[in-house]
Amino acid sequence: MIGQTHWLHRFRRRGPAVLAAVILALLAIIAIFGPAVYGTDPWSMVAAPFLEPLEESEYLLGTDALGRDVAAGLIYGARLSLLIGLAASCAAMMIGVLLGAVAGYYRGAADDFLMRCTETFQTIPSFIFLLVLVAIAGPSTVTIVIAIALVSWPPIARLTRAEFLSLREREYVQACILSGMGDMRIIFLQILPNAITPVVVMASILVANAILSEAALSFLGLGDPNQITWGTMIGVGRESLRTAPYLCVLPGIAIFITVLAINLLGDGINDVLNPRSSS
Amino acid sequence: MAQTEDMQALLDIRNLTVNLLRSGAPVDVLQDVSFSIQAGRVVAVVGESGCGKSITASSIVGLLPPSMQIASGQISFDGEDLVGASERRLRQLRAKSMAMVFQDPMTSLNPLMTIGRQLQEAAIMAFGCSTEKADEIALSMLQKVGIPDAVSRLQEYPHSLSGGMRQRVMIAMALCRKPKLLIADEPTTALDVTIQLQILRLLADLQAELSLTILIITHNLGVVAELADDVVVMYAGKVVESGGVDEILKTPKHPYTRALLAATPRFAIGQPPERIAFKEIKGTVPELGKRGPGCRFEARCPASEPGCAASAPETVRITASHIVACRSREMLQ
Amino acid sequence: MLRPVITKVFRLAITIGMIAIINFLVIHSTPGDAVDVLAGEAGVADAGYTAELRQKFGLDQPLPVQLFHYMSRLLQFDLGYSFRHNMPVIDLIAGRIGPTMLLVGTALFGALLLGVVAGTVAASRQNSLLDYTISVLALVGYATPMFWLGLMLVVLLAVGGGILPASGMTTSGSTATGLAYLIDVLRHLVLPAVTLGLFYFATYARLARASVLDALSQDYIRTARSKGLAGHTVLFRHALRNALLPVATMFSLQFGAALGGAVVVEAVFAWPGLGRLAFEAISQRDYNLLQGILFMSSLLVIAINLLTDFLYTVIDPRIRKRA
Repeated sequence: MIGQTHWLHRFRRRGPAVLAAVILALLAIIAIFGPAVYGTDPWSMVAAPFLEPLEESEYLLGTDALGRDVAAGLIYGARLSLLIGLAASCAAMMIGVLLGAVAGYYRGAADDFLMRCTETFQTIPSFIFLLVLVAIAGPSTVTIVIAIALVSWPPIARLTRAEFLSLREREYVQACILSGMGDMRIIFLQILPNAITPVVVMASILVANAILSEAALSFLGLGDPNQITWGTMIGVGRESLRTAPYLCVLPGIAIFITVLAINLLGDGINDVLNPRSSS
Repeated sequence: MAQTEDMQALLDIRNLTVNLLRSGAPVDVLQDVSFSIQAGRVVAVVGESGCGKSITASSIVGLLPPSMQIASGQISFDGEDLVGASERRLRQLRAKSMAMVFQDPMTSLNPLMTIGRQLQEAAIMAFGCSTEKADEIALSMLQKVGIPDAVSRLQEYPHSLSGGMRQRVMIAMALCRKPKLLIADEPTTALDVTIQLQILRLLADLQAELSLTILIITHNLGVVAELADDVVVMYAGKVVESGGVDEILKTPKHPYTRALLAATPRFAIGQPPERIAFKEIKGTVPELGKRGPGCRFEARCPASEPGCAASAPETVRITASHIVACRSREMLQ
Repeated sequence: MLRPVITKVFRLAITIGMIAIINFLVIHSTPGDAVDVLAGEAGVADAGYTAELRQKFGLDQPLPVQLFHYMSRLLQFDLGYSFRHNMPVIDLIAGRIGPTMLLVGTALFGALLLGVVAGTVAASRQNSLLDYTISVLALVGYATPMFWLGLMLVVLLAVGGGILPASGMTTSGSTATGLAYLIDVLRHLVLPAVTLGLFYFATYARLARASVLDALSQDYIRTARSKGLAGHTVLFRHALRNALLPVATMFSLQFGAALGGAVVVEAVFAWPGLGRLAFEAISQRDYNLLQGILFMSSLLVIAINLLTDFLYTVIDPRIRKRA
């Protein structure tokens, strides 16, 4: 009896996170296999322009101003948006973990300097910084990934540093230091494995931010001109906003669902990791 | 000191049962708790953490957490029934007649408000007086609880005071409304040992001077010996024994009370050899919802008998004041 | 007493210096320099002419010297010259900062006010339908791309008959003055401010809910209740003030992000602010202007952080003592 209420109670709390995980898994499958399975090239003009969704069974989501298949665009967009989001937050995590680990492990002057740097990067408005970086480096998938990583590492660095500051005082770390183990080995083999969980959770939520940033860049015309992303589709669709609003609506919903799912999953994982913080 | 038996009790709790509401069947956290306090006396409620001491206090002042509810029983305070009282009336009683001092003085004061403001608030709630009058009361109360330099303290924020000083402020706040009943919930537990003694002495002095009625909740038998006139021993949401302080400390009847005393070094020393020879109480308090129909101490009891797990023990009156809930005849002799 | 202030000022100076260096490095990593742009513009490829220009602008000096010159110019608030607009960058920025502050200020303060109210209501009626609605709204606000929300509002309002203007800060050709002008601007402000504000509303509502709940579970709330205070007095006098501290921190942290959001929102609604200027600077490859905007917006963030710090010391006596 108690077990049953427990299960219901837990489902009510975990339900959204589970749903989010399912959605993200589906999105991942679409991103990986979708383009090959669906077949239609998102660039080629396959039908009459401005076919509304459901107007023709072959192009269920309609066509854009040039007669390109919207569904194909969304599928390719899923691949690129997710890829950029993942790559950028991985890169941000690497920068952040490295700097945070060094600051937290060595403390003293290195910590002071690195924390000043972190503070500085947090002071500069990150989206404007991102615009400037991409504008100057020239928009391409790689520069966009690097630029997003360059503006989003500070929170990761702070978190990693805090974890390292506390973990390095633990007995097992002190024992390693006394036994003369090398710093790199202690940092990467002893401390990092114990510090990484909350960092990964934070980085996973960064994926959502990265997807939003990329979309905004593409919308402003600073996306990779050789790729289709959801943001680009909205930017292009904007030209015919009043006549064919679905061109903006559909990719926007795709972004919305993806970001919502990532946030919900992140909340869920946070709940599991520290139940006290949830209310 | 001795109170006449026929005098009406200030606080009388009869068969109080409090439930924890959860999805599924409610579980009782207090069951059939009964005891009373005569005006001017100090009653200590003792027991391990989780035995329902604090829940009892919260029930009296009407501040149970939303997940808990009084299922049955009566609480009468100064002749008035509190269980059926409106929230408004309970608020009024908290403002004027019942005051509480809590366990942790470090967190019990609002960090963003001056000491003076917090005391003033209490005085205004109690007397509906002007702020000037309230400040006057606040100041005199601060002086009464032995805070040096009280005038300037009024302007300070809690963080600039030590734990002992903050507990004095809490006591001043409680007393500035001239309450009929002071409930002190583990008032010394969070303090340093030396400070503990100071606060106990302060409570004892104030009690004598103002003839306060105090319900003190504690797990510390030293506090009981120092302050209490009467003692109520609770275990797993039930009263297992109650009586005068001498009766409980010198001739305890319930195996749990004896164990508790034996677990306190000060009382274990020089005990007669036939006393049960263990210092720690083995096992743990049964979890909520896993409490059987029998005596709740049965699983840990050194004197348990075959019938103990099946049904709850009858309450036995040993003297006019001494009551114990145990079926073991051997124990009761 | 003076020491913390000095430390603070020193740290601030270092941060500003580092921002300047980052700016300088970013600008110098551009392919080609201002002279190339100028020469290309004028259609002049004469090597002698470009060399002369480089010397004039100091671009032939070694990098550290250039950095030194750059920093000393910054100290005089000289952010360089926009060859596109034929104006000093600082003047361009000065002309656009007002509309941006109006937009960002309205959006953030509106979001703060409504978010704190919503979060407090949600916390005081925990697990009610209202609480649930506010939580869902907050999640939606979190996940909606800002520029897309703007476009959707435009579409919806177009359907609704264009009740609110969706472009610019004033009606074009309008010569209204005084109150009429103010109303015109406010009408134009509604959609961009709502677009920019929703995300921050979501943030503040979520945070305020969590921190009010946290404050309500504190021991001093039990003390306040035991004094016989009524529920709303406990909430407003004792809990809310404590709960506002983390919200204030968040407000300060998010000001920079809101400036970034303004770029997108200004692009959607043709709002004549810094963001739109930045957008134009990008499409015109006006790097001097771009880095000027980046530097000035960083300074704005610093100023807001200082203001919040000050506010903090007003609210929280524990900090007042330390500072």
